[in-house]
Amino acid sequence: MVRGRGRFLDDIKLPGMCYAAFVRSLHAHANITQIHVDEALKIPGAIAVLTPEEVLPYVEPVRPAAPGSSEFARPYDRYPLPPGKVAFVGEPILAVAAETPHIAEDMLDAITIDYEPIPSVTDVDQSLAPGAPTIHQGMADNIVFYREFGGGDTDKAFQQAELVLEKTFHFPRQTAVPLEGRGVIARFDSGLDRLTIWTSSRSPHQSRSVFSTVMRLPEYSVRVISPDTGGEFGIKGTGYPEAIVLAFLSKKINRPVKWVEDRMENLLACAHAHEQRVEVSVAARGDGSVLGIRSKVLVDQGAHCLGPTSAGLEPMTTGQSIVGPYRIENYDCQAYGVLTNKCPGGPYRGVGTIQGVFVIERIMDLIAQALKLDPAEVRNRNFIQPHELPYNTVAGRLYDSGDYPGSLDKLLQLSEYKDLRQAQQQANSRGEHLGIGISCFVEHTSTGSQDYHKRGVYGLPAFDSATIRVDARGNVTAAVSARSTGQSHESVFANLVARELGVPYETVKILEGDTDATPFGSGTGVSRSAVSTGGAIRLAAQDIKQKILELARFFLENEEGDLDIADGEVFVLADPSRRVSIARVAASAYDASREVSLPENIERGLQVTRSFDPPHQVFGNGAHLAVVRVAPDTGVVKLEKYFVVEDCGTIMDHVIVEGQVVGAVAMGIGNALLEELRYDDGGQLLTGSFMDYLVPTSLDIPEIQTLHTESPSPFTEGGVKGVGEAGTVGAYSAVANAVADALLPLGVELTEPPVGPERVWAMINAAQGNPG
Amino acid sequence: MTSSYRAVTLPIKLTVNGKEYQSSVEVRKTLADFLRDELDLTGTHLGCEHGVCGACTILFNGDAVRSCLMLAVQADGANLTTVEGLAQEEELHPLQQAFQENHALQCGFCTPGMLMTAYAFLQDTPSPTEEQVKEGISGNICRCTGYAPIIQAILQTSKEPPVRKAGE
Repeated sequence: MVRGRGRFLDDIKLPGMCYAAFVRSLHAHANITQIHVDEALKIPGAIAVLTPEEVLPYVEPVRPAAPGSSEFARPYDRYPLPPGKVAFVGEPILAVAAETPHIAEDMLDAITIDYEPIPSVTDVDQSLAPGAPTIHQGMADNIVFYREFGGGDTDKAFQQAELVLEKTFHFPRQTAVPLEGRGVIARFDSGLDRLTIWTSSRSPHQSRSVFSTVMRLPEYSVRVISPDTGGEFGIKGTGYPEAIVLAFLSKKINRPVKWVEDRMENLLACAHAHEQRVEVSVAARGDGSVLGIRSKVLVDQGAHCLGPTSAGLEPMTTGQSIVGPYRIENYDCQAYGVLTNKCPGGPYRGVGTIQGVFVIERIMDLIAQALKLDPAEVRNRNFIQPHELPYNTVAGRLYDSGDYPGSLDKLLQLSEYKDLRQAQQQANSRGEHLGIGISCFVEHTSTGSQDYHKRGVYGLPAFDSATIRVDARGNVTAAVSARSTGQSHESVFANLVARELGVPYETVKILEGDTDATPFGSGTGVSRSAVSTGGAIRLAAQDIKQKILELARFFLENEEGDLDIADGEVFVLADPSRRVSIARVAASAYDASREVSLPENIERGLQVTRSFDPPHQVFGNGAHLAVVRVAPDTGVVKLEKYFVVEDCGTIMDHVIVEGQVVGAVAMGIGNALLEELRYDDGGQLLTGSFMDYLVPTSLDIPEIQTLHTESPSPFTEGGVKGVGEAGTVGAYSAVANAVADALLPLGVELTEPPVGPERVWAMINAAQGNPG
Repeated sequence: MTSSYRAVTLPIKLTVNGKEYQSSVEVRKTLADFLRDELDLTGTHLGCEHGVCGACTILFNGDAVRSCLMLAVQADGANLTTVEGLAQEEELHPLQQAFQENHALQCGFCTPGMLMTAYAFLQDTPSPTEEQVKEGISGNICRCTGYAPIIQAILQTSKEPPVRKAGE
């Protein structure tokens, strides 16, 4: 990688390869009346055009949650290219193929589409209004997901309340923007009647299932290869129509065809996320303990549901996250996924959780403010205590392990909280605006099948697999269903195999990202790889180890005592001087040993495949603290200090965990301060470049001090939990709470990130009655 | 609407990583596309193609430039270094070594541009402060690391004199 020898999708060239581009909708909602392509096909180097009508007879429509199903999602049909009607600006309408990417773009310029615009809806209020235009045929309204859940008795909680808060939070539309955009190469091999798809996907096996379902092909007719991936953060999963269209295109022209999106396409038409309105009522006692919460989560889903989980992904995740790490016994939630004429919503690191945690952590601060208590004290009065775990929450989750008050306590020590508050008082008495924000959270990781069933989602494989093979020379491969997109699976999993087997790290190679070379499994996502793929690796390694020990006895004079393996050698525990190398043992499994000929009843080969389906989601926890300085005249927020205490169960690799946490905190800081996709009233995206969709640079990120603690999970192999998303979850609300704290003396109440200069300045002026 | 574009090519001659090339390129082709498509130097990455992310940074006569914002024909007669020219055979450049040691890359997509920016920065500022390093790489976006390990790697390299010139 540091030599520039990575092999990303756009680095792959195939013989005879040509290039695709997409004509995209200019309208938020319109009927397509005519498509004119003749001029485009006259351009030298133009190869073909693929229209919606050509694809239609050969595809299965995709429904929310397909290829699985969701009890709470409302069905409608989506086709890879829309026949007759577009539902958002940027929606692909047709594809072109040409000899070069430049000529493909020339073809786009030469194609004309006649549109008949129809009224559009660009926010949830418009979408839910009586008489609103419905976005999809066959649906009575624009509600694509609805579920009520909760427990306890909220009526009673509100009767007993000594403090009631009613708040509405608005969360902006954001998107993951991995530095490498999406890309696909499709090659149809007519001789084999088989498609090979190269796609920067974190879940090659799930991608294959989607191709196979939509294109009505058996899975063996599709091979998906996922090359090096330049960042992912949730967004490079499955379900994008462009990938399906490329497969058809390669079949139509019988040539390999490549498409790599540009940044504008990425911002316009890759998955968006995070846009929600959340209304909550909170009942609390006079001591600050929360009695109950009622919430209504309205997710602006955009025009479609992407991928197998997306219809309920944000509504449910946010709804379930609002109770946080707190003992809240009465809760009602109404969770909605609402369609609008905007880019479809999908996952983005911390999806759904960041909003839920934001809500409850702002509420904790607002309670502290109302009761004149320290924000840390309010949290301490509400935490679920370590002895209460495992704990069934009223929102339907089972927290496995952790010490939530302990994490906060460590944070207060790490940040020297008392001194910070004193310094803040002094600074603010000098007329400065210093703010301190705390965020405490739990974060679900590694969702298993049972969790999906609880959500009403079926047919979504949630297990991962590993095939470990020791070759005749003692070298080890582990082929896994996950795909690293920057999480260093190659080294973390190789270390795990080496440790479990007792062989040198250098003799282990991890294979990923090719459905022909790896066992079936869910893939990467939901911070799951350490648990599920790691779990499968541990199980397979244990089996292989047993087999190696069994074979080793033939080399150790049929030793009956206990054996173990270290440094690539099997040895007798009682007499470690008696030993034999794994290479010698492995040779016998392949009938390649000159010393030992195995009896006939011993199965040949040294290869095992195992799978692991996490029995429950497991919950990491953490506590973050941010210190900010706000300049009221400009609205500029300067992050001065940042502290993290995080607990992801047993740590497999400290360097990688630190990297995941710090990187995710930086991303969460971007979510809190900078990132916002904006549309105008007509549904046109206003933020189509990095000039206006801002992500953090090195100047935006302060030093991040971390402290790692470990509460092993009782539910997983080795006690591990996921960690990939925890940083974003804590940072979103810690930064916002710090800004809110700084603005408190100015009479500002913060309920809407991102808190960049423009919004902060406007909030200050609004609070002070100045016209903006 | 009919495309009025007519392909025009011009001959160019340039040196990349110490090797001379002659080519005839379409005038509308960017330098980044030329390096990637025609010279197969795919270490230079494209993250935005509008000059903000810095992934395509290369050295142009010794200066760090964004190769997505230049046309290939503008490089006629120029001496370029790309990330592939940083190491000497199998021996990594100290910056590359430091990036590895500090876990300064996760997905690795921004890394080539970050390395070239850091290289040019250290040529101009051999003993930088942390603040100067932050400023120096502020035009390169990394979505994975949160920048801290990259800053550490650059500081570490600056403390290991002398920094060898790329391609020497």
